[in-house]
Amino acid sequence: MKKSKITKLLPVAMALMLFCPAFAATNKASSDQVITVPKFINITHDESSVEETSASFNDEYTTITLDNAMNTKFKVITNNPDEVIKLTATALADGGQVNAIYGDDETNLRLVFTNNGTDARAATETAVTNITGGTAAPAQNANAIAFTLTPTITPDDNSGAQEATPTKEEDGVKYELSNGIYEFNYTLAQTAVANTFSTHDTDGTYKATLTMSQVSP
Amino acid sequence: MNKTKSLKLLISIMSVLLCTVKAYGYAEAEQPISTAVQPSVSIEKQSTSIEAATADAQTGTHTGLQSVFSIQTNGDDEDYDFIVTSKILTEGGEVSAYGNNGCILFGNTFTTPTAEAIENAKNGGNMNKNVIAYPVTTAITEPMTVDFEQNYGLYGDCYVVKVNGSSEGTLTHTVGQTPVSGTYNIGQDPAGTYQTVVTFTAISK
Repeated sequence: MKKSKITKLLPVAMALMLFCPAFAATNKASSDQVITVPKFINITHDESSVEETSASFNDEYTTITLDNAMNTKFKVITNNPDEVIKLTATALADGGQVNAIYGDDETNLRLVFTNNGTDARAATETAVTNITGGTAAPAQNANAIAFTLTPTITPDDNSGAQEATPTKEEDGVKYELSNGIYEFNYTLAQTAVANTFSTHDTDGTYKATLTMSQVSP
Repeated sequence: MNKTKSLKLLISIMSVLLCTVKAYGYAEAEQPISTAVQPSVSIEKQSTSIEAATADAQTGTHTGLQSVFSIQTNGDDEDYDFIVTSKILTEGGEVSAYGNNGCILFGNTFTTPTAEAIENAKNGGNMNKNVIAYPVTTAITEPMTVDFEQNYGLYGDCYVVKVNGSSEGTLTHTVGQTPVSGTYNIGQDPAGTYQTVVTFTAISK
């Protein structure tokens, strides 16, 4: 009887041993392959921008007309669907750079140019703020002249870009972008904003600087 | 004296017992044992796999990816289908990530691509938001073979491995570094992570 039991158990045990590797084996394995695409933005100044011109005046020196229509273009490429950039402008006053952009809203902007000369040909910060404050008086904004600045924002449809969302801020305009390619074109009017040009504006070179930059996340 | 007799008797009994056991053991060892060894297979992902890469945001070129699997089997191609599949998550669920032009698709994990974008990328188009396609190559230890098959039975688009009588080998599935033209676009493919899953399976027939 004992002999019979041992005889039966032995093959069973051996069979179990043989089957064990099969129970432990896996017949399937997967590999998750992941690519990380980092955020990217490239803001460039378009060389086709017209950024220099002479000016002419009426006989009374009460109006100024720019000889050429000036414009500044920026190209923005980003792969960030939540990108934020900002347009700012500065002009020289009292030896330093001050805010030179103002306006009623994000589409009605004005840009202040200041004489980069010295002494009687230099602009003060007070002269600039007299204009940007919205109540310009010729005698109080010597060597500073403002022109209307009209933005045109063109998303490249082929790039997948959507309409930008602008927000006017005290010192510029913020734009929320989706991923894609955009062209920002700012066109300057050829005649000055009322009460910003007069005989208080001496001869010389008047300059303003537009800057488009990424807003820190 | 009694002790000595008892000791001798005990030794005699034990000797008889041992001899008896030896006699039984010998008899049982001669009995035939019949065991059917079933086909089995073991597939493991190897540590040489490279599963994470970073892409250049301007070009989509990534730093390199590969899946390496080992296979051990005592079965044959009559016992199993050895299949490599891939899957990508879309708005409508998971679909095969293999394209029609020897490529594999990666999908944005934050904004899953549409079925239309997937189909476009599979056919080498350029309207495939949130999808990037890369060329794929496979290699396996000889004499095993691996070949791409479209609409292969129940498995769809897949790579089919034939073990050809071999018991072990290594399969390497490599994702090319440069995107298939038209499938990476900075406006259509936002920053983020893009994923595909490659699976090597042995299915018992």
